[in-house]
Amino acid sequence: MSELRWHPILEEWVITATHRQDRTFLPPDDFCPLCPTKPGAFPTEVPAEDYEIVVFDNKFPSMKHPAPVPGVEGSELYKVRPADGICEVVSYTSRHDGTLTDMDLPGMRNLVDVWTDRFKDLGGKDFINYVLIFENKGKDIGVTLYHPHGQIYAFPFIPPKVQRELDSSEKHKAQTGRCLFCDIIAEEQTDGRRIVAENDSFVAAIPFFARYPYEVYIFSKKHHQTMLTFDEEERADLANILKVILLKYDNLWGISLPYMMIMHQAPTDGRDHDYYHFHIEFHPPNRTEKKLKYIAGCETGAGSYINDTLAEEKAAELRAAEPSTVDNTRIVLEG
Amino acid sequence: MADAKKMTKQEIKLPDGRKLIYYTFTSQGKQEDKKTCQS
Repeated sequence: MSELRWHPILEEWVITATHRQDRTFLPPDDFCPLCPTKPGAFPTEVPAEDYEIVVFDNKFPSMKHPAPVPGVEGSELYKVRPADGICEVVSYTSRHDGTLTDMDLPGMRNLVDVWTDRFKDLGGKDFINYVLIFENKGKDIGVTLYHPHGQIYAFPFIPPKVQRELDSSEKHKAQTGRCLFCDIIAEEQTDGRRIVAENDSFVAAIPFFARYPYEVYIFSKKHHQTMLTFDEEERADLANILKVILLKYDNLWGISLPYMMIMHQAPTDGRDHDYYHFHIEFHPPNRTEKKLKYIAGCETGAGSYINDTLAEEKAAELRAAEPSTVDNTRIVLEG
Repeated sequence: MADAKKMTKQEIKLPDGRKLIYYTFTSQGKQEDKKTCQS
């Protein structure tokens, strides 16, 4: 059972997907559905003995195409529409152990190309208005599979958080004539205390307004709306700064830090969103090595976040974590 | 810098009708990586 139900108070769509209750939950390593299928062994979701990067339709999708007929009838107040979208799984590697952090730089560079291809392919479909590339990492975030992987949700609507960002960006542009995100980058670079890493094409910072203690944003320095306009150097620089941030996260306390990684790009609804700006958000739940930041009463009930830390101090901690260089941080491939 | 490799896609249908795409990358004669970190 899957459908979109309109939330008339918050004015946003809620996806119901009751079949997901039965999805695979933390299977033993021998029965990982994202591993390659070895001869004579358990048949996984990937019918090959090895692979580099594989993408497939989620077996337990929140949205699918064509969408099933909604299981309930709507009304004028309670609108209902089919959950007509696409949910894909991106398995980063055939290796079961490890995380995205362990992927070597060429592998990360390849992944950037796969993300770009998926964004172009999914965003080009006429029923898709938004493509969200993301990763939930770690048990504390609620992953159901340990194998290193991310997800892509291709929505038939623009999700509410992105819509708020679009609205604020458009308003800022109308008021100032400038891009909101370009102004944020300039303000962060002028101050400098919240910068975590930087290379020729991207800057990573825990911004002034961070809601989580270690909430890193990676902004493209050029005013891109999506990955589709990145040149070769920018694609390589994105792989590089991602690797740097992931290493810093894991080196912060010597643990594999859980996080939500979310790529924010312009909608694919055919309209011009030139006021918007590509960025990646990281939301790690940890506020210390052993304590988590919970999305509790004030955050869930009021929508107001309480950050128990200062972005300036947390950025300094991440700056100091290896790889420790700040200016033009780059992992160099020699030879 | 990690140079681009040639990306190829092979799309298949799984027995239950779902789409699966294998992405493979071929070196274009550039570098191989050494995992060193420098500024």
